[in-house]
Amino acid sequence: MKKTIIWLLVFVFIASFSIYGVGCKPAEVIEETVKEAVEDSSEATEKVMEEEAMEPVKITMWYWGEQEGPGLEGWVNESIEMYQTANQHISVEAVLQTTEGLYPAFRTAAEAKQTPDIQYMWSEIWHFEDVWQGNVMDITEYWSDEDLQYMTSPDAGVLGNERYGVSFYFMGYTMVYNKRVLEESGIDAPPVTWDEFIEDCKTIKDHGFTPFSTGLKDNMFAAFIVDGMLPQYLDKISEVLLSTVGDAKWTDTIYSDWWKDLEQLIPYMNEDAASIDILQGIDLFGLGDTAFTYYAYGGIQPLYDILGDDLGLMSFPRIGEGSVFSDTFPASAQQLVVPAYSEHPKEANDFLKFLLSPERANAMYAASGLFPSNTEFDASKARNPFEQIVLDYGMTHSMNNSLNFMPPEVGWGGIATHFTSLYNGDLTADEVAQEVENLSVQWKDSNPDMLENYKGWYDALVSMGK
Amino acid sequence: MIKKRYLSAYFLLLPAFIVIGLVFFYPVVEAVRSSFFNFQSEVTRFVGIDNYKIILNDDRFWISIKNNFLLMIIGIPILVFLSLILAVFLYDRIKFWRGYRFISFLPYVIPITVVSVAFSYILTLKGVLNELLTLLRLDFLIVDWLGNANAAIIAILFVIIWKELGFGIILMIARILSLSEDVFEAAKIDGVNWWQNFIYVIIPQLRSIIEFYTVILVVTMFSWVFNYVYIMTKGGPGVSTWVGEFYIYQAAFRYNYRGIASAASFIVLIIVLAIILIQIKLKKSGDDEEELKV
Repeated sequence: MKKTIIWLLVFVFIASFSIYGVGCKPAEVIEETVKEAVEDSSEATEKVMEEEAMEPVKITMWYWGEQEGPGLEGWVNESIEMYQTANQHISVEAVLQTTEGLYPAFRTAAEAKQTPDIQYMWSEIWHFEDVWQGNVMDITEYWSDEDLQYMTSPDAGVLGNERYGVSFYFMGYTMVYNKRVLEESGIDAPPVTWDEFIEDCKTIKDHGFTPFSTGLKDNMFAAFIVDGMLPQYLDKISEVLLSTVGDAKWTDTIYSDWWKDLEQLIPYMNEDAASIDILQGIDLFGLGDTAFTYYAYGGIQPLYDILGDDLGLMSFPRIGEGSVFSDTFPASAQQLVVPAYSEHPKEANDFLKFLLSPERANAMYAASGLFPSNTEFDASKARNPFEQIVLDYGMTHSMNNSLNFMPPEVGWGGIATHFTSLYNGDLTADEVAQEVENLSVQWKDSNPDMLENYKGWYDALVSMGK
Repeated sequence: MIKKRYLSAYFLLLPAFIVIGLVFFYPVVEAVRSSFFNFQSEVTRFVGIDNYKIILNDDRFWISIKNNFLLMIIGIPILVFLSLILAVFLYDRIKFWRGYRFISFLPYVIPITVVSVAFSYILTLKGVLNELLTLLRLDFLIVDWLGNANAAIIAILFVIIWKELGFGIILMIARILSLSEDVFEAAKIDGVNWWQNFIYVIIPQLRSIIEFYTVILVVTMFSWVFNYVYIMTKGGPGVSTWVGEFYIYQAAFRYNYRGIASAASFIVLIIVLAIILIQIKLKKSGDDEEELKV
């Protein structure tokens, strides 16, 4: 064995000299070649030396979204690889978070002042509460107007004059319908108003179909449907906050009438709605015997794959006279923020700019179906006509997801939780509104400091004309 | 005054005490300390007993505690009784008793999460259970087990009983097997029937293990039901299946109310300790009465 190794080494030694010998040139040629090589390599060497002079930096990113747009994780990993290749001294570690762990993990890390450098957050109140608790950095200095020029909803991460986040992707909350079911029920076109919608539901039920399918067990349906209904009674999105910061009550007509409207839909919902989750309810729509469902995830492609040309997209039925939501559907822009305890804010923001660049935004949509918050995105590249409509809308409209403009405990703990009580008949619409109001009063009493922050936010929204 | 000869023993036990102290006592002390603070703003504020007042005025907390008591008051007697009866059947060595013993213990070894996910499908309105009831022409028994506010907590209780029964059976049968055969022989000679043997011979012999099992179940019904609720109903419909742990979870992790969650944890701890102390007291007075009789 020893002899073999020695002979191998001798062979390598001789081989290297031979190659060198073959490549040998006359002295003058050598000198010229070396001179050229030195000149050519000086630029590369300069860059290498520049990189070597930079301290290696590791940035971490905790994110979410694979759950909304399968394929996002692959896009993130691809982006990291590209970025690291172009920036040799930077390494990026991205960790996909669970839905339930997204905020607890971050807040625990913030308590220990050991946060990642980039954190994913849901929009508005879901990241402003952390801003007020000092967990999120003001990144205004890192983002110029030029950097923000292609970002849709650039003000979604802004509080007063300070920027605390950048829009990552937006979600459209859409009412979809099955054209075949409507046709077979004798309905020519989808309803425009809520009264027409309920009337159509009755007709559809009489024809043996399920008018509306969804799932209530995980409370997601109520959390989404409030965004289609409540803003229709309001003229400005800031009015949602009046029930928290002002004298308005959740039992006032403009904040509670939508419960009575929603109550009208109950007889036309699938009978097992209370014991299944929203995604299971949407799956029922995909089976083909349901007329309508309310879809609130990244892309509509999965439904389009199943139903094809039978799938239709409609505006949310018109209920109130408010002007907040006079268009097609609500939308909200998820955020990427830089935590206050990040040790590399500049590098983190630079990486964000790369992630949110037009090229990466296009790649994100292609990989995951998530709608990029990017004005450079060409909506005609949409996977199907419905996503094109949502993309066109999201790139030109402000986000108006009302659930994100109230304390989470009131929104999720009150509105989202109590819809099932309404569905089961355990509570009337007025009683549900009262439960929400009770919770709101309790929240205000227990969170005086946070209430002041909400008041400041309301003033900021009003000054922005929102 | 620690005797000199015990010093080395305590010294050797010290690392264990430190670990136990860090793992068990420090979190309790920290939770109690946190319960007097508000962590909602940028600056942590001492708020005295405000967090406790908020909790005691919160209907959801009382619903949660009520559900824990419901699980305890209904679930524990059922579990104890079924464990005893089934253990005695197995002790009687009925045919295929080894197979039954294995089957009865199987649910206990399956993770709670797996059991909860499975039953969350079985118990939906159009799930396997209701399909079976339809097949057996028992439509009148069909209920939306997870979607009905009154049925949901009962459905959760059923799953808990199904899962926990195996442990009780094994506990009881292990104790029965350790009893002297002479007692049973003597009872047989006296001409007792199966039921009399069960009531007058077996149960008194198993008193200590029944008490132990009851204490375990009290702790279980207050501290080990979160997974069932979280997966099967998410506390719904509405707030009808909230339990103490779920309330604490919502406060701590969904709404970031660390002070309130800590206060709620401490209240639940006090409740469980009070129940266990009452049990011990009742046991002690029962023992004293027996001594007097003798």
